[in-house]
Amino acid sequence: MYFLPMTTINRVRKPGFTLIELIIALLISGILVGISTATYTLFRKSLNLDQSRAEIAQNGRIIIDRLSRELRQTNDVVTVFPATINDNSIAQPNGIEFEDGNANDLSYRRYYVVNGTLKLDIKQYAFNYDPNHRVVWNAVGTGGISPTPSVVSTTDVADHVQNLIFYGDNLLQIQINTVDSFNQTFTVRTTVLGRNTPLGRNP
Amino acid sequence: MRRRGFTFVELLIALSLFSVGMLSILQIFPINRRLLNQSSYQTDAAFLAEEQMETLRSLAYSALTAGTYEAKATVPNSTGTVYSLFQRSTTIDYINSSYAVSGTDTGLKRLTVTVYWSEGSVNRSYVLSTYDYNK
Repeated sequence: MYFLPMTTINRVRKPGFTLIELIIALLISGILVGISTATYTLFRKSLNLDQSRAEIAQNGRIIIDRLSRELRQTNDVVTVFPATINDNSIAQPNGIEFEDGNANDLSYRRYYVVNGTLKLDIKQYAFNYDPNHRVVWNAVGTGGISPTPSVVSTTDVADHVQNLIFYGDNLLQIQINTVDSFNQTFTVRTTVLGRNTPLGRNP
Repeated sequence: MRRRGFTFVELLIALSLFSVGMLSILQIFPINRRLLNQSSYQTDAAFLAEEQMETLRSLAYSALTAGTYEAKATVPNSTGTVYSLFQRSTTIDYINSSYAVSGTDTGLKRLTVTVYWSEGSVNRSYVLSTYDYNK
């Protein structure tokens, strides 16, 4: 290392970048950062979409699996549904209530959708004059009165549920529609035969 | 005198390599999407096969006529149009005591439900099979 005398006018090119080189370098790194950021953003967006899509598909599958299993075991379905897709005599109730065929303690399960959340009520029926004695939902009491329903508990089962659609009775067609915040939808449909209902016992 | 540093051509090559790398990452998305669709079609198909199985289960043994019980056709429509994608067929065979197809009814039938669908140019199917006996 040496120092030139201050008086000497330095015409020798100094090591370092020229302004042009610097601008080009900045421009190129800018492009690289731009491409990376765009890729990352796209990656996140796609990830969110795909994750959400997988989630609604999973929700639909879990709900239909759970409902099929419980409906196979039930002794009685309380809700009345249109017989087929062409049956307009009954409106779609967007929910279902049936006797719990697993607990077998005369408790009833009611699934329904509120603002995209599938909820489950555990219900029971009793006559006003004998509130601790559970009866079936359509029992007829002294003087021809009907039992009073009471909700024991309410739980949230799943979210992103658009609606539940049912057709038939003993041989019940179930359709679950799920939707996410990106408006992606998933539909799953099956039919279930109640094993303990009259038709299921039959052949 | 040649100065140290990158030439413009070298720089272009580096940039294009970088872009190729990035593009190959982008390839993941459509693949992921296709797999997601594939799995949801598979789920739908499995439940549609189950639908037919449960319907068959509601029938008496004698009502299950051997042969092509349900010809291959588009699955009956429901609310929404998604099911136009799927076709379904049901065959019922007489089965003998060694589980081979038999010409006569020996009190055992095999019910086979097949659901067909296509993803682009690929044809897929889901087979569900069970036995029913003369109770």
